[in-house]
Amino acid sequence: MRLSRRALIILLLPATLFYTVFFIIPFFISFGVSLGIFLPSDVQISRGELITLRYYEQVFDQIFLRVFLRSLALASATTALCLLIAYPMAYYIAVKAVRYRNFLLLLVIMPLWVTFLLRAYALLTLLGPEGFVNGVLLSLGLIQQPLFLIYNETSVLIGMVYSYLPLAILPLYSTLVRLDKTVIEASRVLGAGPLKTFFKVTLPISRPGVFAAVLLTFIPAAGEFIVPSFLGGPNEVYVGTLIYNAFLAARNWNWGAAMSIVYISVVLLGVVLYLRLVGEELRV
Amino acid sequence: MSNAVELDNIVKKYGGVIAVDRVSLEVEKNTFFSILGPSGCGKTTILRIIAGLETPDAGFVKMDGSIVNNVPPEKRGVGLVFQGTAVFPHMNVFNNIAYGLKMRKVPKHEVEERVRNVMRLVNLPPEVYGARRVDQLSGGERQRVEIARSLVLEPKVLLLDEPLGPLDFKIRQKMQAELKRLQKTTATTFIYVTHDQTEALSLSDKIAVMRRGKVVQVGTPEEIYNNPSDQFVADFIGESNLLEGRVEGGFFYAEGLPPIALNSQAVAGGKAVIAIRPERVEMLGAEKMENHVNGVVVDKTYQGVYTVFRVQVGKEHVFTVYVTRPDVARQFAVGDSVVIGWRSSDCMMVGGL
Repeated sequence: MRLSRRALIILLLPATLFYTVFFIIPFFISFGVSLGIFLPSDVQISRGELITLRYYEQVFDQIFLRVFLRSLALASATTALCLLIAYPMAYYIAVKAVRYRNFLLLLVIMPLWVTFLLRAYALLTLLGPEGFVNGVLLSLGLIQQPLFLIYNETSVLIGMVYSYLPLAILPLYSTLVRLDKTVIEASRVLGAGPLKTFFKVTLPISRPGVFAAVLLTFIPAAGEFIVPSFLGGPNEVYVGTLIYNAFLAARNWNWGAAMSIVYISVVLLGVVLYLRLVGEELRV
Repeated sequence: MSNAVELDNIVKKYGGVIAVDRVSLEVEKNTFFSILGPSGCGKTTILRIIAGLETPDAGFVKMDGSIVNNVPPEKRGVGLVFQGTAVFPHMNVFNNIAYGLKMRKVPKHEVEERVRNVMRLVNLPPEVYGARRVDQLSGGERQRVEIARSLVLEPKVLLLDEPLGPLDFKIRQKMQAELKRLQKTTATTFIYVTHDQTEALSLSDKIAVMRRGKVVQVGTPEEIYNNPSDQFVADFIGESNLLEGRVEGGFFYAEGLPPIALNSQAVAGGKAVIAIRPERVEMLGAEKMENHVNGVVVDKTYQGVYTVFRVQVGKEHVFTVYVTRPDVARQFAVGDSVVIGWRSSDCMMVGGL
């Protein structure tokens, strides 16, 4: 369908206004802050610099770069784990459990009704020293002392996977549910066993769903703040916590803004490359 | 010689519902065998059981004389053709057809050659269609890709599940002729599932008519049409005027009708149902026929090849009559009193006795 130019403007106006006020303008303000154009620091003023790259120099420090890489690694691991868990689940719901499909989908979506913060708290109590998991293991006599299940990398990863799993299941489900069952059966009759059928037919056909799931989990996971700060404790530092601390603990807004800009650029670059690679299929 | 496929007392239930009820069938080699029945009669389930996509709850599936109940679909060596919906959307035409050969690790040059040959066989010239994407194909072309994909493996048995269902009339007719030609040239056993009786009659060497999970009659098209085993077959294959009544001394007595002379072969007495094909009933010169009744035309519908008359006889009976000659059809109109008649040999005994 072709839209007239006027219809296009009217339809896009609310979104454009909203994103201009709440995203584009703040983004450029942050960008300005990161270059010292707005809110210059005392040092910068004393040197009489109107614009400077000094805050970026602070960002390109080994320690901070390591945190960046760690965050990207966490996001990648989250995405990979989510896919591994989500694919069989989505496949089961879409292809096998035809009768209970809607009910199972509801169960998948339900956690999204509860705020992120509450879910992080829930995990904290579940895995904590006096939490449910330790309680069961202790009462079964499997362990003598509570295991230290929180405030480490594993607990952060568990929390992340738990949070993002629905976002991986939904796009996978939507491609798998459109998959004609006869295609799979045809492959079997033509001489491919169940495994070969999966790798030659089912998986290739559901590629758009896989690509969408990767996008939907990786991007928010890359900038995740709540889960690492709750389940990671003070010792597990990721980008989210780092930037948060720069703004609110160190009160160095220029530094925080510079970090944000660098990290956003890195993630954005990754997404652009990714879309270039697979964008064609996502459009299907 | 053993049969290509043999079913021995096959039972299949879904939940509490019996989809296939003690079905036994013998399909001879190199024949065009149709399984015909209304939707939900279990014919597709039978096909899936032969393909190995469903496991029967009881009974045996034999191919070439040996039981294959536990052989998975990929090892049965049968071909299965759906309605053109099962082409692989992520592969071009060539790769779709080459799929099974690649699974069997056939050398590349041989794959190339066999795919090209089979593409010519199904009228998809490889030069034109080889690289074509599946979503650029018409329904009929997809259907042919599916058929080629199975035929290239030279299966002993090709199963076809209402393959022409979604195609429009002209293409259907063309594909029917093509299927028959393919069956003959490839000397493959075709097992063809359909609910379309005309299709089954024109294509098959043998037909099994199914109803509610059971096989009600197996026979050649002529046998099925001219000698239906019961009311259901008489009414499902073609149309029939069914009459209920009693047989006594070579005559059939139905309420509100004069005695109807029967073929001398039908001598036994008792309750019975007879069927008379609408195209065997005459409206011109019927007074002189051995069986004739008086009636009134209550409906007249032009159908192209013939005209359908509904004739009310007495209070209870409405006869359907096909008149092929337009000059005869023109002589009668709704409300006219007519005499309709038929030969004793056209009374088919379909029930009772």
